[in-house]
Amino acid sequence: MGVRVGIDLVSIDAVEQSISVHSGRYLGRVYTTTELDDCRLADGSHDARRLAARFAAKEAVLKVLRVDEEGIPWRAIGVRRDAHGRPSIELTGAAKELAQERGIEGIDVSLSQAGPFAAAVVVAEVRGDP
Amino acid sequence: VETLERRHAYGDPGVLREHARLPADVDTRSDDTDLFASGVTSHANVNLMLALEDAFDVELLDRMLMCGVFKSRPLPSQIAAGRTIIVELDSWYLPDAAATGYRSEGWTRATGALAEVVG
Repeated sequence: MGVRVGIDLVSIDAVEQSISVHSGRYLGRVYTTTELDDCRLADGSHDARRLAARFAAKEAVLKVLRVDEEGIPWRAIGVRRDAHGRPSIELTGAAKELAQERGIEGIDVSLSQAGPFAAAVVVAEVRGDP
Repeated sequence: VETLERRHAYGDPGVLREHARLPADVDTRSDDTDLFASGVTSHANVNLMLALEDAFDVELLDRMLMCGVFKSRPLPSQIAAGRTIIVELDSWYLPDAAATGYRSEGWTRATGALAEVVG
């Protein structure tokens, strides 16, 4: 069993700008319904800091999957939170199929935010030689 | 799509200049420049694709919003790699339309897949 690590850093300002410019189309094409629900603020808008952390997690997952030009919809990689707020990765569709093809057997994520950036680290267990 | 992006990128303000957050001057980009090697992030790529949808009134597949799927590369090399290239055309130049429906039925634009680039 091998281990792969993926990391990514996302500018919170870039996410705020995307929400401002592309609004619902950006949110609906990139984030799962669960992610949008988890990041919704009391006034109905979305928290760019938490969304940025989730985007970083998606990109970090792509790195452990070693995606090249396969093309994975962003919504096929989702971050969920348990009752204690701990995040986990949920793969669906093309991402799930690629993970199986790549021998990914387990995957975990850690999210962080500080100042203008959000970051995510993903660790995956891989069958055979990673 | 590559052609559309390229044509518009050199306009002013230009989709690429406005949305890709390129660190370098976009005008120094050549036809075979790898946008992501030039500093376009995954997140900026999403903005770029959504802006292209707006600019050309098209809807890209969700998987094309991901980095690496879309690259500024010459069309012949993409076709040779087996990728499907969807383009929007001015119907005036389609041989089988012969410009007939262009005027009478308003077929000003058509969407097609490229099989080969000649010339």
